[in-house]
Amino acid sequence: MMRKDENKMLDIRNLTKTYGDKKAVDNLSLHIYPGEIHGFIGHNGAGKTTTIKACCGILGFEGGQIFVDGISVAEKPLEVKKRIAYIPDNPDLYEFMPAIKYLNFVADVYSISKKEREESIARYADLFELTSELAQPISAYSHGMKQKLSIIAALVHKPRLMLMDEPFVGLDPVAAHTVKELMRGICDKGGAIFFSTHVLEVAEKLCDNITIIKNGRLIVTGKTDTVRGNSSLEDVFLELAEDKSK
Amino acid sequence: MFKTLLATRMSMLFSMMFGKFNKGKKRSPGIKVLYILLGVYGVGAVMFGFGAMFSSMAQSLPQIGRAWLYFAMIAIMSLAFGFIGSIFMTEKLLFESTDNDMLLAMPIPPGYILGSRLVTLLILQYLYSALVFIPAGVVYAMYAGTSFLGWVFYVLTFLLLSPFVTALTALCGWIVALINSRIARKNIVSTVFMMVFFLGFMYIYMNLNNYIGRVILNGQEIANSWQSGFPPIYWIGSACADGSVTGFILSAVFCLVPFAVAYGLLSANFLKIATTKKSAAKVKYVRKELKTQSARKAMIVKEIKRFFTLPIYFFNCGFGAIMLIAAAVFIVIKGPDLVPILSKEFQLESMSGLVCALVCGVIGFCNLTIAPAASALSLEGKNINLLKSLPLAAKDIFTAKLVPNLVIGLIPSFLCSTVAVIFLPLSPLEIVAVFVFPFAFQSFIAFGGLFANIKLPRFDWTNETVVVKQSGAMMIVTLGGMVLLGMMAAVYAIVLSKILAVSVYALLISAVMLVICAIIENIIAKNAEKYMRDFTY
Repeated sequence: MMRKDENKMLDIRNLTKTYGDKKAVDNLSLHIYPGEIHGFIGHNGAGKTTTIKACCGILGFEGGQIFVDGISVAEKPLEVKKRIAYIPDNPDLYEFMPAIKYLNFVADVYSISKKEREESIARYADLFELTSELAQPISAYSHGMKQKLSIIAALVHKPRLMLMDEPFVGLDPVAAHTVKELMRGICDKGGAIFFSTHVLEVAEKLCDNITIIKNGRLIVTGKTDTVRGNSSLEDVFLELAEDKSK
Repeated sequence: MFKTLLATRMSMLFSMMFGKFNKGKKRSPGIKVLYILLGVYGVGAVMFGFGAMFSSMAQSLPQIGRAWLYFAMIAIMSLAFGFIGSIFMTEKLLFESTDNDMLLAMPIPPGYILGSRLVTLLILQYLYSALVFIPAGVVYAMYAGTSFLGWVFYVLTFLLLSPFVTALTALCGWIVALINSRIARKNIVSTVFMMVFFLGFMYIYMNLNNYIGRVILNGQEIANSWQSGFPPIYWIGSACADGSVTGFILSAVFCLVPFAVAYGLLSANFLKIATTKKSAAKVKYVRKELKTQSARKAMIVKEIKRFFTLPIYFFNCGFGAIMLIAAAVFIVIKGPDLVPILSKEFQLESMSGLVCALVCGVIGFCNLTIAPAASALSLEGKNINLLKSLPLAAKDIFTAKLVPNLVIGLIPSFLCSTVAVIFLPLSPLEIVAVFVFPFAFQSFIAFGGLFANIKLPRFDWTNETVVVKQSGAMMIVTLGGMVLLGMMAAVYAIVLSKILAVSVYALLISAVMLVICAIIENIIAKNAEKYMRDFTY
């Protein structure tokens, strides 16, 4: 069944982003529908973080268009940001704040009601076993704890689209499993996830669709099973990387 | 290997102080020239201040046979100035360095790592010491002069005193770091420590002339008590004043031994300092009702929290507020006595205008040091992307950076103005002026600081000290503000004093400043989204 453009949760059309003379992203197009977990794979410096940041409205771009839930990122960035949550690869948070204050701050920014934020924070803090640490300043947190806090902050306002840059880095196996379950739960309720990762096994098991980019350009995009074919995603990735280098 | 480590350390320090502001953007030649001019002005102003302070001592102390006390004072001021200026940097560099793990994993002796950091701090101390030693030496040469050996020992004392100060800051920094690691609200210790020391420094600085006066009157008694109570001070002084070889040898030992001891102590404990994760006191989480507020208010509250949580930010950008409160207390206590003293001092029949000018000038000077908006944006650092990903209008973000500056500056200014009105003789128009001028000037500093920070952001810092003390925006606002305040006073004194009352002049320039604030506000509002979009980390 053909899915209309208006139904796309994320629609990247001919995205081009340059830094000086270098094209970090070159004419990239891909789309994600509600209910979809979409993996974004590429070598170091391929343009994954640039693409994700452009979708969040953090970076401007020179060419193309990006729509989130039908809203243009370039024209209505605030409306887009209300619908998304961004989890960076390095959880840069306000380290001078206690964790609970930081979560409350994020909830204020998204105008979450008192009851809703208290329930969400309690629920996710318990899920990630961070409840007893909520009063500590973020500066006292380990990398993994900051990553968990970053994820909790992203979930508090129930985003329609989650943009995650290597979300599993620094997470212990239990937390990683929890994140995967939460991701599936968000998509089952009509949300969508777009995340980059270097852990191809996770991408294989978790993602409905996969996009592989190299040097800022799209190599392949499609259903995970189709992209993988009869081999593993790792073999496909390595083969594509070798093909393009010849 | 040590040379390589030291070279790396120096290049890090250089890039910290003069690095690129916004990734990928080059500085225009105009900005570079402005920085150089501001830097020269800043250094010149500090040196002039010390020179002026020492000039009265240089004229009086040698005449009463207490020349050694002059050089002792230089050593004390150099020590205090260097300590105040570098304690935060010392604590960060020695005890909170983020490259410990990387360096310790390499075949580098821990003593080399520590040594390279101490040498970097030593070089910084030399810069601080030079700001005191150079003008004090020039002034002494103008009014008194010493023997050739005395000058040789003066130069050597300059070289030897800095290791002592470095040792002192290193050991104090270690104590502060140890205390901080064991308490929950660690920044309180740093803030209190610095405030106590700075207040002590200001007390000494402001009472120095009185003290010198007492020395001149009771010189023998005081000099004897110093000689017996603080012999190293006498040794330093006699080496420079009299060319005393014994004095020099003893003072050299006094300066170098603590440095060696500090190096030995820290070196022996460096591995433990660098790698032990201290169990800081944990704050127990108690689930309670969360307060809600608007996004705009949440942003402002966050900024205020950051201001009061970071000691260097509070100390460097908000100390003027404490000075204003102190000034208000001073006016309450000494206000009624001030008028006759000023009248006698300036030989004026009428105090008309002078009190108004002094109140506006003093409050204005304190306002200069209340400029958190000049570094508020840069302090986001790597979090600028977090800020950009949130559904916050850029204009609201900038407003949140501005409001704390206005609140922190205007409230104590208003208090000081109110007290001045109650306790000092001011005409009705002067009363208006002492409220309006500080309001306008503080607003000008705040808006100017924010605009400077928008134009000259700096997100790639690893140490907040660099942003708060040495960023381009901060230099422009504080030094530029100082120039402006001076020019306002000079223009009135030289050109307008005979045709315009002080109060009218103050109100006119207040109007000009408020118009400039409105223009800045308009520019920021129109271009807010573009400015925010262009910030990168």
